[in-house]
Amino acid sequence: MEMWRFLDVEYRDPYKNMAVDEALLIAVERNIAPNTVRFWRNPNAVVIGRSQSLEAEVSLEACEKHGASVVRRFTGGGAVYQDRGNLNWTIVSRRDHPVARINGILGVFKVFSKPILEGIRALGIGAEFKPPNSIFVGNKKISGMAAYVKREAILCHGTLLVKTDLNILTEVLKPVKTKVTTLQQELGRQISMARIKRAILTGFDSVYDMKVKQGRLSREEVEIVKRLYRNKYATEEWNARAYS
Amino acid sequence: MHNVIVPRLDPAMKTGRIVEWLKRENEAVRKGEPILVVEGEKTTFEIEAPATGVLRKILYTVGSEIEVLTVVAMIGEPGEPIPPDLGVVAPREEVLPPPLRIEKPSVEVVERPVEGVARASPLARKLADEYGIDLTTVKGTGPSGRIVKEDVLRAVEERRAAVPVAPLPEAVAPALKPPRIAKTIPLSGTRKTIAERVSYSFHTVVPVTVTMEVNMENLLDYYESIKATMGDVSFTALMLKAVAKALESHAVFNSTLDGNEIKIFEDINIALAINTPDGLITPVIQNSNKKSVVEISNAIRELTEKAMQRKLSLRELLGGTFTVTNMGPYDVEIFAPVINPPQSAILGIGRIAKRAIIINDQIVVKPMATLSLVFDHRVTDGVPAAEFLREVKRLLEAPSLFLSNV
Repeated sequence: MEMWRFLDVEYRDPYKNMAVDEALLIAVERNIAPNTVRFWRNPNAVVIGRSQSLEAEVSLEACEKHGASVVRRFTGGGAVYQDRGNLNWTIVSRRDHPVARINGILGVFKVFSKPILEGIRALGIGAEFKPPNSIFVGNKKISGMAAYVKREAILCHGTLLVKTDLNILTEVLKPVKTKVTTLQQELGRQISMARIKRAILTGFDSVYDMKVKQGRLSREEVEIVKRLYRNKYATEEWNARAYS
Repeated sequence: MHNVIVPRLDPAMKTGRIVEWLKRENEAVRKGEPILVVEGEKTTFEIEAPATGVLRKILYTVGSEIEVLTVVAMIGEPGEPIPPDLGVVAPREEVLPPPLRIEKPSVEVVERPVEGVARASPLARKLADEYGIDLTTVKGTGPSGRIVKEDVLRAVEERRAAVPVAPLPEAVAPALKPPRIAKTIPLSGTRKTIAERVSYSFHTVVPVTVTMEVNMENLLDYYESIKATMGDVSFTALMLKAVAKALESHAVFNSTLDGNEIKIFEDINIALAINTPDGLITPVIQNSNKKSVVEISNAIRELTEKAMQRKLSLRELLGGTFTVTNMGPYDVEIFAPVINPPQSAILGIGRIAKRAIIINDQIVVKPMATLSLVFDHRVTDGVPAAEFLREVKRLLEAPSLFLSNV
């Protein structure tokens, strides 16, 4: 049975976390890394879309009050608030892999979020994929995703609100257009991150008919992470860049 | 000079936004190297250089919202003159949809900065657009006279009331009541997927159908003989094997159109349409041309069972390169199935029925079936399609040609 790499790699530095995601895409594109699934969390941060305006999306006063950092990601889409109660997931695949042969680019979200959806459902929550790029429970959003397509590789990453502080979320983001919920709110009880990860990985197996094996970043990937961190994600130029 | 265009990566995609130029003007570029980053339809993607040379001209800056298929840059030799009529360079391959303004005249009116701009909320604009309401004729009741949703809805109602309704004959009038709904079936699961896929196909593919009659006598004889020796083998498996063999020599039907490139698949993975209580699904028999008839038959049985129990994994549904659908068991003679994107062709098999045909000037009765090949005319033409069908026919009429080792 086919094996994908599973990475449980997260840092307390949200800029470094973002550098890892882009490094994975670059490494799979260059064929120096296998197709990969990653789980990771950020500590208290607002993550904005690649071409969003910082001032328009984020209340900088509220970020300051709550000590939230602001990091710009390399994928498009809207701003999200993340704390350690939010589980990020990343799937990176070669484009010629059967799961990545999609009809139209929007198909990426539906296909790549299937294991996440299966995992949520296995926990007993009736979640639905909502086009183009969200997972909803009833009329509330629980996961949003974004994607980046290169010539040979494709990356889709998303959030999964587990027990995020929704009060801070509504303060730091302006304006919050969609109602949101968390897994814990829907379940009405506590749930461990480990259990959620297991459920999603089982979903991976049942949906794609393939296993994942825990792995680590290669030395080459670590070098790419360092370079991206130094030259891009940790720079004010990248994070505060203005778009017209 | 080579044009760099923003490709249409999704049928829903109308525009893309340039978020970064990875190369500067007059910088050297290699063919296939990413030169700019575009956001569209919630995804971020890189556009590669279509040729090696230098990036002679960047036509749009970062932040520009560009209609798909627009030329955004030009690649040429160092110092090569730039054509003066850059603004009107038209894409070669695809016909652009008319600009939105033409489709939606009301929007044009409100967006024109002269003749008194109607201030309206985004929702009001959207509604006005949907209902064809001219916002300059609507009085706003929102803050500072802003036109809000209610104002547009009121205008819609007023227009409806104002349209004179022709008197109808008594007998006809009752029929105009909306039909009563007996039951509402939500479009979900397999049905929804089918709806999305056939719509996608309908809006992108240019389908052409060619049909051909096949004498199935020899194949039926062959089928009876192998059944006697090997037990229960699926007849469809025999047909699939013939199609897979024919695809080996007519590879363009085993391909996909990806932007400006026709990509011929290396593997021949035939997807077989299977009817289930939830609707039609198309599990895939990987490497069909390399499998024996027995292996194909076993695969069909296993996939059908799983399909009925809703146990197919995504992997078993993905990666098809050509589809076969057999409506013969349902007494269908000829039909034009919908191409299963991103594939380029689909073969429909009609029922086998005894018919009078003429062989050597004699009327004889033979079991005949009609094959219908639907192909994407963007990828290939009628004559190659006829040749492919003729090859399928040749194999089916002389099974020993492809069934040497069952």
